[in-house]
Formats: sequence, structure tokens, C-alpha cells
Amino acid sequence: MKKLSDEILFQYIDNELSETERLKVEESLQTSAELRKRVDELKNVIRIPKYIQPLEPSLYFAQRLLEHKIKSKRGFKLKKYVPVFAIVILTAALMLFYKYNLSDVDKIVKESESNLLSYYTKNLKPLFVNTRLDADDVFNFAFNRIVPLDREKNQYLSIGVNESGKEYFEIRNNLDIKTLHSKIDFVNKLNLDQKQKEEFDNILNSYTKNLESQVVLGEDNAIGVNENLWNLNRAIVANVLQYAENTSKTNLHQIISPVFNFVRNPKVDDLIQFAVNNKSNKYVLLTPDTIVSTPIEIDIEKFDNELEKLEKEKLIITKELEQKNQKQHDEEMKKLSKELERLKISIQLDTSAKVYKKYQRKSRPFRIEIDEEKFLIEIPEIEKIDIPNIDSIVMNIDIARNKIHAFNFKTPDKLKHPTKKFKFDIEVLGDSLKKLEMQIPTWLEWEIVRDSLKKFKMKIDGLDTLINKSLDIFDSRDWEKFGRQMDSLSKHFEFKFDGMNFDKEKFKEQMEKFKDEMEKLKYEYRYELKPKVKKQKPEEI
Amino acid sequence: MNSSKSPKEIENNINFRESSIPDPDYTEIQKIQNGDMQAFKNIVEKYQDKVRNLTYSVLGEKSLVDDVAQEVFTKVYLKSKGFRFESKFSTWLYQITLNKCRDELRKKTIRSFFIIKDSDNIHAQDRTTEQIESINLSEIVREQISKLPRKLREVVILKDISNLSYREISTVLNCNEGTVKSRLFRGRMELKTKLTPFRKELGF
Repeated sequence: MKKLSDEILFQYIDNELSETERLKVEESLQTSAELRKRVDELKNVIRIPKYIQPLEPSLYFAQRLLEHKIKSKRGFKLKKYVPVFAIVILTAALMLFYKYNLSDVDKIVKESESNLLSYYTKNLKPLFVNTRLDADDVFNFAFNRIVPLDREKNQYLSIGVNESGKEYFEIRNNLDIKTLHSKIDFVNKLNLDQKQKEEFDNILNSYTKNLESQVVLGEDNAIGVNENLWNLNRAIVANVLQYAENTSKTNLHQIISPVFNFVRNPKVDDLIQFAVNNKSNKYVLLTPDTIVSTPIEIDIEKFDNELEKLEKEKLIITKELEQKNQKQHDEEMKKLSKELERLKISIQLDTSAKVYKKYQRKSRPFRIEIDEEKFLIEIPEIEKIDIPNIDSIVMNIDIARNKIHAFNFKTPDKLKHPTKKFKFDIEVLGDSLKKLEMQIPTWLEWEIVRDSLKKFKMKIDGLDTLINKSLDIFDSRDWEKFGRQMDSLSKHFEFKFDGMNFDKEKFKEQMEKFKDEMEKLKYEYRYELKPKVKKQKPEEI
Repeated sequence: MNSSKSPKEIENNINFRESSIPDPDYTEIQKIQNGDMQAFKNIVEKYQDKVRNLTYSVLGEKSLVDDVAQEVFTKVYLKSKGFRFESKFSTWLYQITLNKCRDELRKKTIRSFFIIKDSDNIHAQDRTTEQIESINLSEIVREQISKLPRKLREVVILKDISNLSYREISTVLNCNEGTVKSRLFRGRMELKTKLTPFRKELGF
């Protein structure tokens, strides 16, 4: 019998032979052990490409596609149908009209001058009149995404991007910055020497001026945030990580497991250049009456000079008069302080903010969230960095930044302190509930854990709330069922540290799992998937 | 076969050979043609991983995957009106994906004329980023597949990773089934030879 070729055998395995051919092969297979062996070998060859691990699913993919790409393309499509001819005629007509009706043009200009918006924009001042930023602030801006507005009041501007890819900014009172990631920690972990530390600070300091002009404040509770701020944030993160990777790659990879190569990618440089050189004057302006996206022209130089002059005077007076004439010195200083105070601006938050609630209903480009401590404004559409294929780099920078946040757990080698139990009761939706229980040693700054939970936008309530909420879910108030449910939920996520056998690696692993779990919850929340806990028949999670 | 047609023409004029196959995606596509965004979202969610993995297999660079895949779906959305239900939707989708990947590879080749060529570095870079110490089988296999000649590589990926039938592959690549068979055979054998040092680990 003619020997069957490998090509035919491949087709046989792929189930692509005709009926008669297939029967022929099968007949031969029954009689020849050698042929069976060959088929097995070829099956293994076919399996080779299956060794490639599939990519992790991308949670943001569909959302980003719909938000950015499709929207912009649809806009473009619409443009094609705009009646160009009619517009040309209309423009020409308007030009003629205004040419012969100059008085009307004047009237329009006057009207616009007197309108509310220009009133607010006239009174705006750059952030640095309130507070000069230093390297620590720039670091905080990069990795904690906060900018100080008023240090005395602990008032901060915080920026971010929410799950649906929309940029937002928040004004937050009483922010406890001690719980956040600090520059010192980061530098220590990188193990930089003195010279490198200086270089590191220089990089951060090079951004202060840029950052200071991106936020503007007005005396009438107005605040403007430049849309480039989000780009700048990524640029600084990228630049810092680039430096860290260049000077001490191993140390950086210990802080964040490697996600991306910052040094080698030329696009990262493009991104930094774009953000730094972007002279966009488009600000999102929040005032007590309205919120708009508008161009604002501010003479940064003027304010800078004024402030520097005053500070210099202060210094001269201190030097010259301190010794000689106490009274005169005090008087002069008082005058100057007043002058400086006059420049300063304080933002008061009206957390009841009826105006905004009303405004939000009327036209909806901005979504607003208000509670006692914060004022959150979601921005509909900002100018994106215009470099091809930048999306994935931006995503990688965001991942890197978040990784630094989430895994900054200080775990000493030997556990000397007793453990203490903390419970996190996490509410996902009104009708889905998962309870996470962890035992964490007291030395661990649990605020950090709590903070990373907050990022997932979930409430952390007491046990009372948990019980009440759960009862709401189980309408029947079947106590036995309720008890069973709670039991199964608590089993779902529980890990303990034995005082003597604290396993650092295991802890890390558990935190990874925990993070995955959180991601899943976030995903469910976002896409409003069917709740896992059904009303009638609660199933084990 | 219609070898004189450009890939774009082929995308628009779907092959008749598959017309008898009922396709579960047809209703969704009809909805997309009527501007239903939810239907589009459903299709994206159904196929995003398949498209991303195919893109990754062909390009071999994670950093490009999402951008290319987004372009693929954007094209699907914009060109959905041109889809005439003469082939399976997935076949059309794979065709678009492959064309986008080819575009990307072309760009890469052009770019490489301007940047100092250091192809080994790309792999080294991937390794340091993904797996500092242990280089795993997945990486090795991916690397070797990427070294196959393009025509062989595409067939192997479409068959052994994306699990398409010979007929579907012949539609996607616009060639006849005989060509698919021979390219697949050559591709698989070449891959086997390239991976001989790892035959124990890979079990062949």
C-alpha cells in the first residue's frame, strides 16, 4: 500500500478529508501501529501554537472604542453631509451684514464683555499666588494625582479618570495626605545616592512652573483646570519612571512588577514633549453659577513678577530692619503680609450646591458629584494627545501608576506584633453583596488598604449597614437563609496570618487575588451585569 | 480565483462560497447597519479577544495590539453597510484584522529603515519586561512563529490559533484550498524544525 504522507495525515487530523479519503486513512490506522504513532506525533506538532498564552482580557477595550474612536469617526461622518455651499453663502451674507452694521458688532462685543463668564475669567489668578509648589508636590501630583489648593485648610485638587474613561477633577477638603504614597518612600526604595536624589528632584522641579499655571483660582469661588493637566500628569509619571528605570531598573521592578519599558520607547518622549509644550488655554471653569469649558488667557509672568517682588521685599525688610527697629519692621511686615494675603484666594465649597444640581439637569455635558468632603466634576471630552497609537502607552502609564499605589505594603521580615482583625464590608450594588474579611497585623498601615479600596468606589460601612442591606436583599427576611448566606460569603474571602508563620509571599499573593476580585466587582458594576445573588434563591458565591 | 483584486475590494465583495452557512451574527450586523450601538457593543465584546489574540500572534507586540484591534472594529463599524451577508461575519472580521496587521507590519518595516536595526533587542526587551528570569515556552513558540515566512505564518495562526476551517482560511486569504493545505503543511513542518531543541518540553 502507498505510504500516507504527513500532509494527508494533517488533513485527517484537521478533519478536512473527504469521506472516502477519511475511511481509507482510518482503515490503515487500524492495521498499523507505526502509523498511529505518527498521527500522535503530528497531533503534538499541531498543538505547538497552542502554547502561546492568550492575552489577558482587556476590560477597557469596548468602552474606549465606543467613547473615543467611534464617537470621533461618527462626528467626521456627519461633517460630510453638512451643506457646505449653504454655509459659504451664510458666511458671506453675515460678513456683508456686519460690514454695514458696525454698531451692531460693537453691541455684541459689549454684551459679551458684560456677561458673567468674562467677569469670572478676568479675576482669575494662577495657583502659585496661593502656594508655591516643590518637588514633593510634583511627586504627589504625579502618583497621588493631587495638587494643593490651600495647605492650611488641607484643600486639594485631585484629578483622575473613571471607569468609563472620562476625566474628572475633584476639590477635596480635609484630605489626609499622610496615607498617600510619598516621595521619600519611593526614593528610598529606589536606593538612590545623594547625586541621584538631586537629579530626581531636578526632574520634578522642572515641572513646577508648568503645573502651577494649569490651575487658576478666582476670588469668587471660581476654579479653572486646564485640560492639559491630565496629559501633564502622565508625562511626569512617565518621566519619573523613565529616570527610575534608567538608574535602578531592578529596584523599580521590585516596586512595580514590570509593565512596560519606559526608557526604550520613543513614544514616551513624544508624550512628555507634547504635554510640556502644549500651550492650550482651554480650561474647565467651575464658578458658583456655571461650569463651562472655555479658553482663558492669563498673564502668568505678571503674577510671577508681582509675587517675586513682594517676597524679595519681605526678605530685604527682614534683613535690614529686624535688628534696628523692631516696630518699623513689624509694621512693614504687616503691610506686606496684607499685600500677600490680598493675592491669596480661598475656595469655599458649597456642598449643598443647589445651583449645580439645577444646572446638571438643564444641560448635561458635565456630570457632577457632591458630598461633604468633595466636589467632583466629570468632564465630557478633553483634547487628547495627538500622537498615533498613543492609547496603549497611556494605558501602560496608568497601570504603572496604579501598581505603585496598590502594592506599597510595608511587610517586615519578622512579625513581632499581634494581629488585629479588620473587616471590610463591601457594597457593590443594591442587590449584590460580597463580604471580604481580612486579618491584618496592626503594624500594617491599614489606611493604605482602605485607601486602595476606596479607589474602587465602594462604600466601606460598619456591620450594621451590612446586615441592614442584606436584609433588604432577602425580602423574605428568612433568618436561616440569611445566616447561611452570610456564612458562605464569609468563606469566600478569608485569610489569616498566624503570628509565628507569617508568609510574606503568600500575603502578596493574597493581595493579588484580592485585587483581581476587586477588578471583577468593578467590571460587574460597570457593565451592570446580572447580579450574582438572586432574590429568591441566593446562590453561593 | 480573483487574484487581481486588491485586499480592500475583497473585503467589500464577500466571497459567495460561504453563502449557505447560517451565521448567528447576521441579526446583530443588520442592527449595526441601522445604527444600533448596543448591537455593535455586543459584537465587540464577543470578538474583541479573538481579534486581539490574532493581532498579537501576527504582530508579536503587545503594545500595538489594542490600537490595531480598535482600528479593526472602527472599520467594521464604518464599513458595516458594505457587508452583504455573503460570508460569515467572523470571516470578514478576520480579513479586516489581517489587513490591518499587514499595514502595521509594513509601517514597521518602513520605520526600521530609519531606526538602527536591532531586531534581537525587541525580543530581549519583551523578555525583560514580561519575564525577567525564566523564559517560558509561550514566548519561545511565539518568537519562532513570528520568524516563519509571512504566508506560512498567517495560515498556521489562522488554523492552529484561531481555529478556522480550510475553507474559511481560503476566504480570508483569498486563495484556494489547495494553497492553504500546502502552506499549512510547510508552516507546521518548518515550525517543528525550528523548535526541535525544545521537542521534549513541547512533547513531539
